[in-house]
Amino acid sequence: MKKELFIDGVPELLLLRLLAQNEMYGYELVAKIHSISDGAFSFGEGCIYPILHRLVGDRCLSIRKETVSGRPRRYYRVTAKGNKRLSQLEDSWSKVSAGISKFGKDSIHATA
Amino acid sequence: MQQREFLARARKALIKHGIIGSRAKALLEEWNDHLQSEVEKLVAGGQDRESSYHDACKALGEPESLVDSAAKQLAMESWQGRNPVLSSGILSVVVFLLGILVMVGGGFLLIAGWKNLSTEIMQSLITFINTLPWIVGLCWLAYHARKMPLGWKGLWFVTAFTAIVPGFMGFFFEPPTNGPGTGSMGFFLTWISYKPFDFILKFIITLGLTSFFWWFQTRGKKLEDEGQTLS
Repeated sequence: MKKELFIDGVPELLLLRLLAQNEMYGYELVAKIHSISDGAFSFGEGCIYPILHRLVGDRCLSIRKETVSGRPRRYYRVTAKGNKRLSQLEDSWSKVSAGISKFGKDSIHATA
Repeated sequence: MQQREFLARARKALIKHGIIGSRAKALLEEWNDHLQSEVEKLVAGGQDRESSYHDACKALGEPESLVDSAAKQLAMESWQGRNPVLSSGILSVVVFLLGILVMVGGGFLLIAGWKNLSTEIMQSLITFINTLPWIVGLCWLAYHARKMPLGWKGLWFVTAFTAIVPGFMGFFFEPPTNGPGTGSMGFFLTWISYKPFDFILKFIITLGLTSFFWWFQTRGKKLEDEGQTLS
């Protein structure tokens, strides 16, 4: 597994989690991330699309092309490999999150 | 800025970053769909089409910045992009070894069959083989440079290196001027046979080529920075 899970893996985790629920296209995903996180996560369209394309290349996502109003649109869906990757990312994230919570104000005061 | 202008600028920036072919096409299609979807949303909300296009382009950001972050993301996907210093070092060694392998392999093939070839062909083949490591280095690095944060500067460094070192080795050939059975051919590895003119020529060509590409890649950014300073 790659080492970049702490911050670099966050967009990948969110994309896989959203796509595990429903098939979606790029704009939909960007809008969903923005609305669910109340604007806290705004990775930018320059970053999201290359990640989606890499996940397709890694066979973590499957792609379905459709023509909508005369323009091509790519719909993404999580594959079995993508589900495995999602579980790995979620495990790692839980560990990171549990580790960070140990540094909460109260815990530090209690230890001191 | 309208959609067409936005996509044209994005396409130009993609080429500048060396992102071409199916990768560039996929990104442009995604950004186009993104823009159109945003426009449709704004129009459905009661805004007129023209100002919707303007706002949608504005929301997506400057095409050059969009491409910059896409290029950074793409570079991060490769091992080279994540380890620029290590990969430049390893690539230099690989290119050098590959060049030497081609030079030695090709030269020994020539030694094995040189009596069947004319003097002129032989001389041309030897010149070609002795220049091959440099050509191989240049082509290999040109392909990889776009993925490396060092970019064309890295290419320049490695090709300069491959231009220097193979200058100390190569094949010599003396035509059989005194009749059949005369003349000789072999492999040299010496400081004395180093040809400064050959090296200087290669060095100038490499420097010129890579400086041009480096300038070509960064000129947009520089103009933009100057524009921001002026405004």
